[in-house]
Amino acid sequence: MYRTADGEEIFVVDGHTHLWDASPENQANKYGKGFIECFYDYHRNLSPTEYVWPLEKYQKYSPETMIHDLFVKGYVDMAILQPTYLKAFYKNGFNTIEQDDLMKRMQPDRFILNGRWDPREGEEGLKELRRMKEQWDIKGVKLYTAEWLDDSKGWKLSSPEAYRYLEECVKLGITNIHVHKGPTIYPLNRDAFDVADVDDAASRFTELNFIVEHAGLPRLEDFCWIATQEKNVYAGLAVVLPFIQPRPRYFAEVMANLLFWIGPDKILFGSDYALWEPKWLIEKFMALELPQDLKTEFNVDLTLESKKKILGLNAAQLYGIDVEAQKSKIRGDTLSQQAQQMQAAKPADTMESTSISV
Amino acid sequence: MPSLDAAISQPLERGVTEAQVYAAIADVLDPELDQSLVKLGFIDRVQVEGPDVTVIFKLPTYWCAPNFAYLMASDLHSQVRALPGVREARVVLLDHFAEDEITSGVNRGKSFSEAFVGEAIEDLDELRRTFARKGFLMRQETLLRRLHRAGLDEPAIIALRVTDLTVDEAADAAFIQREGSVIRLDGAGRGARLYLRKGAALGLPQRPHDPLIIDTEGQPIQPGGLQAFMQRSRSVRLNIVFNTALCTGLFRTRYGRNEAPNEVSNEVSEEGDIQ
Repeated sequence: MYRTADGEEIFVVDGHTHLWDASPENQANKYGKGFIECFYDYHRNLSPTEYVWPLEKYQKYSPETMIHDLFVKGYVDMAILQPTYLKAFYKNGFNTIEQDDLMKRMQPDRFILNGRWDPREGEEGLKELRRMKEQWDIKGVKLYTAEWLDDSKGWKLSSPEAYRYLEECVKLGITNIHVHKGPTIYPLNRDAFDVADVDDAASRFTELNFIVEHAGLPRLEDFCWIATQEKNVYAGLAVVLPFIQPRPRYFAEVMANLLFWIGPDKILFGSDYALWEPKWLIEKFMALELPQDLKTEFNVDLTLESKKKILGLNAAQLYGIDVEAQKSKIRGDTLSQQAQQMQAAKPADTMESTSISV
Repeated sequence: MPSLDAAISQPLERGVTEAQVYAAIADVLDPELDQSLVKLGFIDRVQVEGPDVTVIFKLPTYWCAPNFAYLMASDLHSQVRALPGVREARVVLLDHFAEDEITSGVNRGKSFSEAFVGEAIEDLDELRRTFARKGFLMRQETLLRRLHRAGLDEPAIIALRVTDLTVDEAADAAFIQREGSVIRLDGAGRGARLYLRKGAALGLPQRPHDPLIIDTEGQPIQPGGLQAFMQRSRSVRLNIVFNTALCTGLFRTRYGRNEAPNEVSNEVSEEGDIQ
């Protein structure tokens, strides 16, 4: 829960979190090493200095650390666990549903557990998807179109195989499809980040919601063009939001664009923990005021109302969370108390405002 | 001691200098960022051994898309090979998941689909064109904003011909001829020149009486259509600028501040214009 200086309570859903194991023991090969080192560069490049972790902790952190960083330090009320398998790089997977389930079992009222699928796994994969639904009643999945499987270096959301799985998702009531666009895709001559397949899938499956993580970056403009036309395409703010720290002007421009092209109802906060910690992301986001020139040029504003939607209400709607009921449920719990104590100890005016020179 | 006459009559060994190599590769771009690899600091070093040249480059992440990396490696290779005095050109990519395929493929003159048998089904021309168009739109959008700020409305902008624009690159100024008077746009010269060059590279019409502002198919903007067109181009520019900040930042984090010879600042002005 984020409390403003005026006493407004903002319900926060972190749409994108992981409990990963990228320790050297779990790295299967040089790609596993290269993958976590790349993540670590993203983490170091965009985090404020005091939030940078040592590499060893970054490779594998404890469940307690995650719970503390999200729910005590981080203002987060609920977090969505998004499994990412990468079994070609990690012996036991990067963070599988079973691994993430550990978090869910530790804090069942705080975590939402998602599943995943890979359309190249054929009938076996469909069986596995049905099992996930049966065991965990998942409402969403995380898809990584750049994942490697044997000789294949990627797949398309608009392939017949993927459509088979999307049909199954409709049948099973798994309505939230979180798509991560990664750096490699088959065939390799295609633009690796092309978001056109999301467009095709979203028009075909209007009963599903497609959340495009990091707003399609580095194809932001193509994403905006697609999302403005499809009612069921959303922007996840991972990778975009951290820019608020080193480049607040750019972040403000991207926000203005997103608000212009798709509006405040279709944007979702996600920290991509542990890529970045929600605490500083949320503090800076709440302090952000769009510069007047952007407000005028795009005819938009990042109001408190919009921030509430982006930080929690939009995700709550996608996941059927009754916000008031949920607030009552967690209000007195241990984590809430610890969070309140932590926030009380820190006076409001130590938060820096996000100033942007024009 | 050999006589001066004898020294002069020896045939000179063919070769090049490091500076010549840097000059030859100065215009090799990162297609996604539409900026020179040299300016971005991605060229790690150039090794010259007589007539043999090696160019070593690095990228912001281990996972940078192999097709983009191949384009860059291939362009570096052809620019160096074309340099008079070069016998063997070699390009090496470091710290990348596909460095072996890219390095050996490019140095053996293989096409992308030959280097990545079974994984790439075509070559990279379409990719190259897609990003050349984005670079064109970005440069055009920068010019359009300046024209707009100078007080030109939509009909005035649409009416401009190629011949109405002149550029003084040394002064970094562009001049727009309009209704008998000349408007001077300071700081817009180099950008305007780049805009024209990119249009020419795409094969777009640029005869003196062709419209100055056209889309990527070479069509003029329809009356009433400029605002929507500019909105899209603005997104293209913002995306490139954002990617540049992300990629150069990641590169610096990965390798520390890279002082390449002839490096120009990677910083982008607050206005978001890439030079």
